[in-house]
Amino acid sequence: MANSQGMAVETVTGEPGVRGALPQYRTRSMLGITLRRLARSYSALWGLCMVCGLILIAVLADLIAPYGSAQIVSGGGSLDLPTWTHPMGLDVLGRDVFSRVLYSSRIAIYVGIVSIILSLLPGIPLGIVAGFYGGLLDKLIMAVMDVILAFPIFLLAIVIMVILEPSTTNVVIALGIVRIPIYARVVRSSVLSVKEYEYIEAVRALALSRWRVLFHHVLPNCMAPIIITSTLSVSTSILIESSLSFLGLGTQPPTPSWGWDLKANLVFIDTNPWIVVFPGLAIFLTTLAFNMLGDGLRDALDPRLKR
Amino acid sequence: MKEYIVKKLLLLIPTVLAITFLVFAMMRFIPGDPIHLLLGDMYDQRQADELRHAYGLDQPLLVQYAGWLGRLAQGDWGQSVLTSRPVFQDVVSRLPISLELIVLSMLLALLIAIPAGVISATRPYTVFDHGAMTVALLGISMPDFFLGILLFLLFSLTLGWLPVQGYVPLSTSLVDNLRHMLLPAVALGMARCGILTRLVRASLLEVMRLDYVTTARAKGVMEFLVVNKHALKNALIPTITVAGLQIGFLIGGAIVIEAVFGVPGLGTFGVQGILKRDYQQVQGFILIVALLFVVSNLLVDISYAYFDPRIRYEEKAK
Repeated sequence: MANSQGMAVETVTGEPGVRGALPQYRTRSMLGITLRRLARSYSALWGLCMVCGLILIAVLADLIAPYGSAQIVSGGGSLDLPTWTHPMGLDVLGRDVFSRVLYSSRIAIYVGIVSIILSLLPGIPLGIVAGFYGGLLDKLIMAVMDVILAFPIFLLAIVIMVILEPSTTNVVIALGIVRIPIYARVVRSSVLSVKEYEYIEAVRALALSRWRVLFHHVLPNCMAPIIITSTLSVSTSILIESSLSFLGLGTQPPTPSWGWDLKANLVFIDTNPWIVVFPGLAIFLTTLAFNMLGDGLRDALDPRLKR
Repeated sequence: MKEYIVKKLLLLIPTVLAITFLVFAMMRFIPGDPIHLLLGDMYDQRQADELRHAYGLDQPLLVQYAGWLGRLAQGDWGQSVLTSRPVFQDVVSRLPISLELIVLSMLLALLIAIPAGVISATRPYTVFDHGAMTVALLGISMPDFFLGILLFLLFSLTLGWLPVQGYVPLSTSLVDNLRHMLLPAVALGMARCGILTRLVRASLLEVMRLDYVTTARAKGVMEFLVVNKHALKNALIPTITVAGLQIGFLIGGAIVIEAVFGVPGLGTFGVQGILKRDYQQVQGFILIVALLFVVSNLLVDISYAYFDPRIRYEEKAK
C-alpha cells in the first residue's frame, strides 16, 4: 500500500482513535490483511467456496439426498446407468449412488478434521517445548518424532490399522498419530526462529511468566504455518482414508465411504463405469478444494509478499 | 565424500535395528494370543504352558527379539499360512516387480516435471505457465488409484490399446513388460510429477534472480546453457531432496496401484496378508517396505552430497 507521497505504508496495530483516519492509515488486523490477500486469488476463493459447499453437503446430507445411504431403491434395478431419477446410477445392490456419494462426504469431513485436531493437540505443545527449551529435551522429543517419520505415512497407517481393527475411528486415530511429528517439527522451527526475535527478549526481560510468553507471544507467530499445514493435511487425510477404504482397511460397510464404493463398484466397471467415476470424482474435487484453499492461504500468509 | 558416505552407512545399522524392533513389537501387539488360537476349545493350562515354552514365548521380550532377528538374518522370515511357502521366497520374487514400478514412476515424473518446470520458469505468467501449474494442481489432488482407474477405463477398456491386467516379466519380453507397467507407472507418478513441477519452477525462478546468472549472461553464454546448465544445476538441489521425500509416498501409493492393476508385487502381497490375517506375510511385507524406504533415503542422501558440493566440503571441514 502507498500513501499520497508514494511511500510504502504497512499497517501496524494502532489505538482506537485511528479509526477516523485516512484509509491508508487505518488499523487493519492480521486477520483482515490475510482475508484481503486471500480474496485476491481466484483459486483460493474457489477453494473456499468448494470447502464451504462440501461442509454444507455433509451437514445437510439428510435433507439433500433423495434416498438413504443403505436404502435399496424400490422398483428394483441394479447397476443402472445414470438417469434423471438417479443422476449417478444404481450400484449392484440397487442403492442410489448419488445419495451414497452425498452421505460419504460426512466420513471425509469427519476424518479430515478430527485427525488434524488429534495431531494438533499433542503436536503443538511438543513442538513448543522442544523449540523453546532446547537442549536434551529438544533432542529427545525430536528423536521420537524422527522414528515416527522414518516410516512412510501410508505404511504407518496400514500398520496401525493392522493392530487396531479397521474402522473409521481407528483410521482417525492412525492418521492423528502419524501426523504428530509433522506439527511438532513445523511448530518447533517457528518457535526457533521466533525465539531469536528481540521482542521476545524484551518481553522476558519484563519478567512476564513463561506461560504468558509462550501463549501470547510465541504461539501467534506459529499460527501461519500451522494453518497452512492443517489445510493441506486435510486433503492428504481424505486421500489416505479413501486409499485405506479402497483396500478394505478403512471405513467398513454399512457406513458409506467413497474409497469403499470405488472398490466395490470396480468389479462391475465394464457394465457401468459411471458408478466408479462419481465416487472417485468426489474424492478428487474434495482434495482439490482443500489444496486450492491451502495454496491460497500459503500465499496470503507469506510474510515475504508485502503487497 | 567418502567420510560422508561411510557416516551415512554406519547410521543405517541403528535405523534398521530400530525398524526391526518396531515390526517385532508391532506383531506382539496384535490382539489375540496365538496359543489360544492354536488350542481353541481344547485349551488346557498345562498344555498351553508347554507350548509356550516350546515356541519360546515365555522368554523375555528381548531374548525373543534376538532369536527372531537371528532367524531373519538367516533368511527365515517365517512361513505363510496362506501359501505354505516361506515368506522370504515370496518377498524376494516380488521385490523386483514393485521396484520396477516405483523406479518407472519416479523416472516418468522427473522426465515430465523438469522440462515442464523449466519452461514454466523461463516463460512465467504465460499461458503455458498457468496451464502447467493448473495441471500440476490437478495432478496433486487426484487420488492415484482413481487416476489409474480412469486411465484403465480409457486405454484398456474403451480403446483397447493397452492390456487390462497382469504382468509380464522383463526376462520374457521388454515391450510387453513396459506395456503392462505403463498405466500403473503413469497413475502413480502423476501426483509426484505435479509437486515436482511446481518445485522446479519455484526453485528455478529463485535461482535465476541470483547474480551469477546475470554474470553468465553478460559473459555471452547462450541462454539455453545459462538456464539448463548453470541455473538448473542449483535449482535441482531442492528438487532432488523433495523427490527423495516423495519416495515414501510412492511406496505407499504403489500398494494401492498394484491392487488396481493386479500387479503381483509387494503391495498385493501385503494387502492379501492383512485381509486374510496371515501375520507372517504381513510381517514380511512391513519389514521389506520399511527397509526399502530406509535404503532409498540413504541413496538420496548420498546423491544429495553429489549434487550439492557444500555438503561434501562441510564434512571435510569437520
